[in-house]
Amino acid sequence: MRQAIYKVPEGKLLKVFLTAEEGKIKDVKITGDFFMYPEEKIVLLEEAVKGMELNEEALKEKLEKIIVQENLDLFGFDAGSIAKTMVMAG
Amino acid sequence: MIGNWKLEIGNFRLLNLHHVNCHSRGGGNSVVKRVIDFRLRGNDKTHMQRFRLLQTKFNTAAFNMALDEVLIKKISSGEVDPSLRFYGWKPAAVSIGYFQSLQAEVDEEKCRERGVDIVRRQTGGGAVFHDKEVTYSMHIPLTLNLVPEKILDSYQRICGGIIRGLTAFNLSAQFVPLNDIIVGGKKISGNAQTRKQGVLLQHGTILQSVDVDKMFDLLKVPDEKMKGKLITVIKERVTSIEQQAGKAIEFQSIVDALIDGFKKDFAAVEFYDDGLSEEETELARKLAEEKYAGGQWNYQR
Repeated sequence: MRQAIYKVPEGKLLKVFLTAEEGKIKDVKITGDFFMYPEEKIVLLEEAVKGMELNEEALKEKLEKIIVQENLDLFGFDAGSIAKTMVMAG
Repeated sequence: MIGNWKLEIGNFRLLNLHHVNCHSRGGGNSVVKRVIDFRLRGNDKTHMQRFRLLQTKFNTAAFNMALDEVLIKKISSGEVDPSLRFYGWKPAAVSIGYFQSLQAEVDEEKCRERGVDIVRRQTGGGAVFHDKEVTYSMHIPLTLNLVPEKILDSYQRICGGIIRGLTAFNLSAQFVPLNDIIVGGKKISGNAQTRKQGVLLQHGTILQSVDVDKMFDLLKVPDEKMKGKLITVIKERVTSIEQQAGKAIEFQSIVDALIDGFKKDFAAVEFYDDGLSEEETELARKLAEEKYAGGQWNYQR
């Protein structure tokens, strides 16, 4: 797994671990010192991007959709910063 | 076992009656007695919600985190009153946030060498080295409407008790969103919150003294070459009660000051001294062993 670290401006430290195959996300873990409620639903964000290409805009859109759908509360990071870190790790 | 009750008293308010203690231990009340209490109080709008005040002294990281979880369950089901607990860590421990990767954050070998526990919290946030500090856990059923529903506001509300408590040492502390308390621009307390089964759990640390070198000896940093510089920066950004007071201050003095702070800041709450029941201790021990002391939970991310 490759790793990327991104300090969200005015936010927390994101560490993404990612395995890509032929430009597509095979496996990913979103870690860091942020807060998200409810916590357990972080796996939904990880599942949602599996199989997707490492395209920052598309990833951001997908993550945003899940965040709204699942009514997730994020503190110290957001869909954009996760997408950015994923692409950095890819 | 009875859960949350909403009673209408007179024609002027709704009252949230949480907790009905069937075992009537340490000040537990029956529904009937409570209703009579309210009637006797008549139009007194300041109903005193009762909170257990627990001082569980020094325990392992796994036990401390397991007890937080056990209390969420017990309070959620209405078996016991909400609580405010103060405690310490023996041995010293590193706790990591729910979302952190243990392997990426903690030097496990160093921790083993130094006899330092490692545990993953139920709450988000960063890695914390628990050594010379006072830790608290506050469990509040959301139905009580005691704290704002908005997460940021509720952090601030609960941190108010700590800020008030620190005035005992002539410290003027401030809340800094999302989850820090600072004195003179430096962090003295970190806090983290989760909400589960209708119960808000906020726990946090108040530094008695701080040893940044010791802390970084146990943590991994993204860039080892920058470690020295990072330590210098962190030393400038962190402080402790003893550092601010310029003298040694006992663990118990800090606990007493914080209790006083919470009592003043939560004037509508009646805090009463209580201890853990044998069952609670046993459940926490079991959960500590099964979940927090190792394996799957600690390494899940």
